[in-house]
Amino acid sequence: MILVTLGLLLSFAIGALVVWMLAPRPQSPVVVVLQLALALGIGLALTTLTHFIALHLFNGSDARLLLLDAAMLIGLCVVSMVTNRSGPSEDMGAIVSPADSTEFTPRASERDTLLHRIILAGTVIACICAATSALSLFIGRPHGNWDAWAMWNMRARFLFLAGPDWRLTFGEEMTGVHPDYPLLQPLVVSRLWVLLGDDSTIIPRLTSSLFTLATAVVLFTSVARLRGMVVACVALTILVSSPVVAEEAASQFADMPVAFYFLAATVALTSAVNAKFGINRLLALAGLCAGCAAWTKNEGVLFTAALLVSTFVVMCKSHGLRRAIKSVIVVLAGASPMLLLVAAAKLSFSWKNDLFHERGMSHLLALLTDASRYRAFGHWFAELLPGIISPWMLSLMALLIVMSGWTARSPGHTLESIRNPHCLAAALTLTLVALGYTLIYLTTPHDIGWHLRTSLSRLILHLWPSLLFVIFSGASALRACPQNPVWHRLIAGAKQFSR
Amino acid sequence: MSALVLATVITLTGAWLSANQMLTLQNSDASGDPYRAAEGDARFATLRPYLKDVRVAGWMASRAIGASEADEVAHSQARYAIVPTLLTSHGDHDTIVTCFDTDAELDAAMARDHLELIGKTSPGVAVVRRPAK
Repeated sequence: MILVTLGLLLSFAIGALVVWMLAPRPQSPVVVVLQLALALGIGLALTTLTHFIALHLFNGSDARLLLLDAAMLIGLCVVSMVTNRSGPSEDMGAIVSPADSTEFTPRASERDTLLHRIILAGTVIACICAATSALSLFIGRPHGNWDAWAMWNMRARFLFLAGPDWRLTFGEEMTGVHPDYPLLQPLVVSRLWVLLGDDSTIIPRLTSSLFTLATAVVLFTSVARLRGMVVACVALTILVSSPVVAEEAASQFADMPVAFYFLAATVALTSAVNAKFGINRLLALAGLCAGCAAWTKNEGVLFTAALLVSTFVVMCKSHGLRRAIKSVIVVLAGASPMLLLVAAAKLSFSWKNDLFHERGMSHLLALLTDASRYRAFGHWFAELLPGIISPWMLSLMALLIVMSGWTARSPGHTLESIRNPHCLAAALTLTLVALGYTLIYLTTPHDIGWHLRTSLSRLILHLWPSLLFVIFSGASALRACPQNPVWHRLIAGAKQFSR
Repeated sequence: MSALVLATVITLTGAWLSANQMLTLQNSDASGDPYRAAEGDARFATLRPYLKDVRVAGWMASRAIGASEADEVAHSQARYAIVPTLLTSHGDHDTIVTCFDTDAELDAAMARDHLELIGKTSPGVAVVRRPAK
């Protein structure tokens, strides 16, 4: 257990150092917590790199991989010292427009203070209930859901137990369990199994919990820094009260890590577009997170492509063509370590995907022009969605969006939040990914109903935290939410303490 | 309706939904594993001692893997449980993991294909070997 703790601390240290190098210096406790949560996920991803190398070098892996992790940490320390910034640095995603600032929001009245307390209590209750739900699922399903033991953890067991035969798990015999799938999740789990010396079910449950917790923290803190604690509480409550979150957290699939990396990349991109200084570093951070998503699931490759397109479009709109091209190169550079891993794994083992293999363009076009497939997609989507996200919650969120549109047009407000590139970049990325998912369903070689039934909840989970971030960081209706004086005092106290 | 009131309504709805999900899981078997993976893992993991130094093993069962969901689950759970041995989906290997419903089916298959029993852990679940040619 000591080695597992050491391994996790090393991961965390590596992630923290990378975030330290790429993100602006935090100016508030909220951003410190945000960066620590980002560090957790990024660190876990980066240590899979050393584990992957160790598997190749040592034909299996043992506790020596901690030496490789330590070497990576030292190397990053050196790079950090060489590239140390001396110029001005602002807070991560600092609010540029005074109109956005919480300092300019109205003072809380007595009624508002009561509502703040209700919101805080509701959020705490929702979090406790969601954690209890996830815990009972973790206890009831120690090996996770079907795909966890049939694919993700089975592969992790091979990486841990098979020694020089670990490549067997990518052979032709394993075609049914997607040998082309990226390896972040199995590598994270098997690395900790190696350090523990046992394939205990505690480890995949622990890693799933860490990614879920990190996702919740990143959403809360990223919204809090833009819109304040009240709005962050609302966003967090919606996330944890979605039935799909506890289910997928306990499933031990790779979808929660994907959701985390999508959200992390979206937050970093938003910060980059919004920042005055350190834009390139934030873009590289966004690229790195997108690369981590690509190393987790194939959907991450689509996300990376969408991120590149939206970066280009938004930077072109706000800074011109030259800056847009440079930004795309920077994002690609950030993503490159993980994309190289993806390419290496696919070239070494298998790149054939059941959705695209041996399917001509004419066949795909025929499927795309078949109206019955759109009807089937619409039918199943409408039938399945209420089981994934509560219709009550969706209705309330729709009302919020309508209110935002109305507020943005009312006197005293501008359309800034709608036109603001920080919203546009993230929204465009998510729209492109959603479009890509829809196209995949429309052209699936499987029965479309079966495909949707078995995967829609997971694909929605990928986008859900990022979508909540976009909605709540862009919702102008909530800009007018008065801030809770109690929280202001808490934050001021924390700032005082940190000084 | 002010934004803060709407935010409060959303939060309370979220708290209610979370509590509802928690109570549903507590008051029913919904949190249990419908595929009983822990039992499946334990059932087939007992074959591991008979599979030492076997890299790849074949599979024989009462029905084909795709015949039903239960048959697919049994094969996937066996494959998960006997790692680091790779379990294939057919019986064309020297060493074979069996998952028959009864011992009688296992005995019949052994007699038909001239298989030797290496070890058996529960009715119909065994590791068998083709005799050396």
